[in-house]
Amino acid sequence: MILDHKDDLKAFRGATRQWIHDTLPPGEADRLSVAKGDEMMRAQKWWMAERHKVGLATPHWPREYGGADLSLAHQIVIADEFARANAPSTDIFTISLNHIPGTLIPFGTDAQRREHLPRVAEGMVWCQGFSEPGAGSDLASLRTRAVRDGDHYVVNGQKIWSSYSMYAEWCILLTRTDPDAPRKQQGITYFLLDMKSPGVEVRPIKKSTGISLFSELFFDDVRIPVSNRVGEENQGWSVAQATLSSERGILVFEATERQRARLERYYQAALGRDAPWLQDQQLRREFMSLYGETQSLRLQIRELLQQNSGEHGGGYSIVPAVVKLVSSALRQKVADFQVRAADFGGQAVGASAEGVDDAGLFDFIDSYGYTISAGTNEIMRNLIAERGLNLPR
Amino acid sequence: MADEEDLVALRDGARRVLADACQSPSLHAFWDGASGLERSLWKTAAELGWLAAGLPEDDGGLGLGLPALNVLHQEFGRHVAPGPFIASLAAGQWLAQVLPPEKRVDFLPALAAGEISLGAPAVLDGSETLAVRGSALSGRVRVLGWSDCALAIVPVGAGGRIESWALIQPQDVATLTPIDNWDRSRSVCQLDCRAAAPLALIPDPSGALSRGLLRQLVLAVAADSVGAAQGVAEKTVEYMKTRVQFEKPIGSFQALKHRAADLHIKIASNERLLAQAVNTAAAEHPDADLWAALAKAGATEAAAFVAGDCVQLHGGIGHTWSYDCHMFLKRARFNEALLCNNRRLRDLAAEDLAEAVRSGRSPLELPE
Repeated sequence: MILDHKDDLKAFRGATRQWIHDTLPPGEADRLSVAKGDEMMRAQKWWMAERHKVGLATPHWPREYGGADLSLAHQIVIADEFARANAPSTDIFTISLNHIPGTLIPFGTDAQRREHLPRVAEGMVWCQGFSEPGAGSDLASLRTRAVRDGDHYVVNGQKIWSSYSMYAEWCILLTRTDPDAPRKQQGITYFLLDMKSPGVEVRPIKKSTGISLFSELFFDDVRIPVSNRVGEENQGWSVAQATLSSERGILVFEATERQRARLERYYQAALGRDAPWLQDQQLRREFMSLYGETQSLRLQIRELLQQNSGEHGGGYSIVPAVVKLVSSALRQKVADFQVRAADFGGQAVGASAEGVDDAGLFDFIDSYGYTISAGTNEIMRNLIAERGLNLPR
Repeated sequence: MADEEDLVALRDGARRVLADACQSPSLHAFWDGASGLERSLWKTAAELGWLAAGLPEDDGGLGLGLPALNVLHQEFGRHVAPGPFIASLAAGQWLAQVLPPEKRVDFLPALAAGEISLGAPAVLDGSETLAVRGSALSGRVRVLGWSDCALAIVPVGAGGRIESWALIQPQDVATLTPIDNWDRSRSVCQLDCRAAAPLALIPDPSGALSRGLLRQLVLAVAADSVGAAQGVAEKTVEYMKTRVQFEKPIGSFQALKHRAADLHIKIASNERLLAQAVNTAAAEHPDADLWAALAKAGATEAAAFVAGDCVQLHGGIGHTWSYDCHMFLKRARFNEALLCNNRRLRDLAAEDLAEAVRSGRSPLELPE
């Protein structure tokens, strides 16, 4: 068993690598990594179930909630090995694996933890109902209304950009319970919502890539039991802060290591067939710049992880904002490069360039998802300027 | 090698000394030809062991290696300190690897003590070489360093190729004529010689010596550039907090905030790229040359951009001779052009990458 090697990081890495090799048939990883829609969901669920069998579904969770209580160093090894093997991602479980424990462990009730955490570990999909059409970057101005009615709250309103919510069984939901609070952050309440509740409607949003990965959620007199409230009424904003900071950098680490692996596969294939862009001085030089930037980003992420593992002092750090901005912008730059390097071939839907699928216009169009979501890059610039450089608000 | 604590102490010490020595009025006096700041800094550097820091202990050095030089060059850049530090420190490091012991003793201890300075090629792309006939050198090349440097490292070759490296004592066999460059914080001379006898002529058939010297020099230039970018960006951010227009500090305007954030990111990114280059060079990693080339290209372009944007962010005063911005800008543009252009460096890195990948190595691999 992989977890038997947890005291020896090197052996742990070896066992993880071996397990991935044994579990993912050759060629399967590359095929699954570009699966889309329902096929993508099935691939991720299958992979999650396989991980669960060997304790790699929730390795970072505390033991009392069914985790393996592994250190950040172990999580780094796992993410690194998954990235190297191009193993299926587990994007649809992002909320489940990180935000749910990050919220329920500090703020949930015992009953909530007992009910939800084991099912999450087994692969239940959760989604996040935070953003609204009128509350994007300015999240605290959200207006979805919850009104107390006996031992229930009645919810009416609309959420948007809720990733994978068409596959989700449960939802973490932010609502307005006190519209008259002096500060808009003070009238917000946090709920756990069963997506099967009457009055919940999910309408997938088709992205500019033609794929639906998120939806709009509509609530029409949806009744949520009081027992599904997290924290006190009107205290939801601070719970949401815990949710949003629950992730300790492993996700961006894994995503960036996947980008690294893609860049290397792309380059190797180009070298192998002596791709035309390698003969183009300008493109070749541009590639080398991107290659350098990739390494800079990887080093910055390692600093972030080190910071988060508590080896450095506390206090506000702008590194997460820098990393979010730089990683998404670099992803966009690489995709932009690949579109131009592919010439007219990059225009075809389903184009795979240099041994990397989707390396045509798909990746480039898709890259805006990263520069916009999880706090737009403009919001990141505000944070860096105001909280990092102390420029006046 | 230096450990992390040594490096922090070295950086803090250098920053304190240079912040005091290179205050704005002192820098301006030097730029206007009215101060001996350059010579006094050299003396200070000798006294504080900066000139000895990178050299092996057997050569009168402190044995702190490249990481220490990296720290020092960043501080020189940050304070736009004038002096022949890049040429002397990088060339000294190269000589310590190249020279046999009996020749080192004549130069390295004297360099470590600040008694002599060194000259290094200002152009290192094969386009400038001395010609050799028998063992006599003739021609004209540009040298980075003072006109009274005791030893110059000069490329020898023909037809755009460097075939060997000459060590010459220019005071005896050549003339060195200072060139008036826009960046007054560095000295570049034109070296002319006819049938000059070199102290040594070292053949470089594989180009390894050239690449080794280039590595030492570009690491210094990259570090200087990162430091300069940090220095000018910090000054600019402070200015944005105090300069008031429309009843507000200009730093409260989002358009300018975002510019400042972008400068921060550009610098942070190149700091890491430089760290990658220094770490691999210090470990004599096979991919050290690739990273050194990319670090210089990235850092010098970033510094030129940052320094230019800082002029703009200051508004009118940023465009004056009496303010500091132009010194950073000129130094950054100097660094960008020094040794060889960034197009060529990226081409070299591309060749290195292809070779590494063909031999089954990933230069992106990091130590655990």
